[in-house]
Amino acid sequence: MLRIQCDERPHWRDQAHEYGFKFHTMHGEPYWDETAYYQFTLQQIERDIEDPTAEIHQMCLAIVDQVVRDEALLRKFQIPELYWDVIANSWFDFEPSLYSRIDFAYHGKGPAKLYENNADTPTSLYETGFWQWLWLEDKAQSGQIARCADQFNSLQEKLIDRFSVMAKQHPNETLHFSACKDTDEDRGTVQYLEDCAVQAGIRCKFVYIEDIGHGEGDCFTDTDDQVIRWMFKLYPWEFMFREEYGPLLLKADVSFIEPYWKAILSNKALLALLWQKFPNHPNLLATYFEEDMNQAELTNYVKKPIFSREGANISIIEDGNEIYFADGPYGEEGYIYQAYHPLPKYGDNYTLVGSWLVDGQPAGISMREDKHLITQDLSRYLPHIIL
Amino acid sequence: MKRTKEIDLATMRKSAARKTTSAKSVMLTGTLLITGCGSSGQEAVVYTTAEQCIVENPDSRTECEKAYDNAISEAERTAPKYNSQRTCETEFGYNQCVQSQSNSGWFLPALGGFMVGRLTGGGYDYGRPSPVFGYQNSWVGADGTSYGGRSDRRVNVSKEAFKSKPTTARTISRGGFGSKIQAKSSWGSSRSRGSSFGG
Repeated sequence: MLRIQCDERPHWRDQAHEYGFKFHTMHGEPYWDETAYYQFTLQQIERDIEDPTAEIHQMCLAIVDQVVRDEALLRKFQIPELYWDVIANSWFDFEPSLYSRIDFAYHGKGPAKLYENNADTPTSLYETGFWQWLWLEDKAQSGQIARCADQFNSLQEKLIDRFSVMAKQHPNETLHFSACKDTDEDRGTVQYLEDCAVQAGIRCKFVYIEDIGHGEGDCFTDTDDQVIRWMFKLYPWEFMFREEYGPLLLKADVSFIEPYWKAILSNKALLALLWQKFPNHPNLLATYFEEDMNQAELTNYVKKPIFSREGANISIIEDGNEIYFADGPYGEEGYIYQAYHPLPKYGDNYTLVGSWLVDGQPAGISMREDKHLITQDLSRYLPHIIL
Repeated sequence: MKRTKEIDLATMRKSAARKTTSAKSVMLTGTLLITGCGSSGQEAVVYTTAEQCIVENPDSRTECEKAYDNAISEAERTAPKYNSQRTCETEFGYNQCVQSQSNSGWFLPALGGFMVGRLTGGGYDYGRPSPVFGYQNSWVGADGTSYGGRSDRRVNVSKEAFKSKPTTARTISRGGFGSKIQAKSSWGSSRSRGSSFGG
């Protein structure tokens, strides 16, 4: 695993405009960064990332199967009781999922260590599935990167295939896509999924989360009063369960992507249960609930809220001293404690590997860099190759 | 190979280049409509009543009646719904709206007629009638697609016209989702936008 400096493609900003990639620069800072790329060997990708991704996903599903049957655990996961049945039913009915992203700390050798599982609302999808793919096409074409170079990135292909399968279960139905207002990044992510769904022959419509309506007869409606029956939502279950329309979810007949059981798969309490069920697994970090910390013997650890996004409210503790803290609005539902295993450092940058799954199949990686130990939403995105 | 083999770049473009293409295809469709021999289009006829259908197709009495009943229930399911007769009439014109049969609080445009597609072997496909409504001087479908002037009963439409339309419902309220993210975003008020959810 190498970090290799390279020249930017001179035309990339025009190209970004052409393809509607609007969030390559955020808050005046670069987000898409092609002044360097990461290079992996095929063995690193397949042995150290791809295989563990598939295995960890299966291990996580085993935990979901355990939690949906256990009221005490559902409580630990901070799932409101009102939704226990609908979550369990979605699990027992095998409601199909679309995608997830597992985050790893990987140093180029040794086992990649699982940081967390973003199974409900992962972003950086467009940059991965399309934009870095296009970057490699250009770089190979111009001869700056060897033509034989590959990339671990079958995301777009797999997403379209997955939508084609889902389309068969929803003949002639409109798929509503939804994201919050005022974020180009989320809107861009959802637009990308819409593009993939259209290529799978699905009729799509977009409605902002804030514009969803309560229709007479206990249904959800879009801004044209059209009843929503099938919906992709880039909005976390833990929020929806706690908002005004939450209880309406139980009455309205909607198939959701991601399904309800993702509320468990994306929950950070899962990390503590993984360690209980698969202790000392090479890809896991020791992780505990607060009440088990007295037996845990962790001297260096990371404290993460059960619900948190983009690195918010995470602190790093070394020998009892907090060496790093990321502020934020999360944490009221409790924390888990994970053994501290720092990200690898390349120059001034800490690097995180995001490993994607579509329908449980490993589908590619995204590379994020940050000046800080904790990857946040301003961390830059860099492309990668396999050579 | 561990990456996507092929991406159709034209489908991924969002800028002017793509718009030009779609403008062209719209013009093409227009030409086809005028000549009336487009392979992608379909000939159809609009009947304003079951009787009109029977008069023109005396052998298909039952089919005409069924098609009309079917169009009425499809109209009820798919037409736009309004809180009052007046708001409905503002859109569709005076005396052009009726009270919903399933919910007395709703008003929807009155059925203007039903459209049936011509089968390639002759005759009409009565099994899939599409309800049409009078909107100004045009026939429109439940989703607002225009099918030509009200004086024309024989029209050439896209095959989409006979696909099942989405169900509509009167919306009681909006804004019951999204409060949590607003609360979380206002925490970081220095930011110029709301937070995303990835990581």
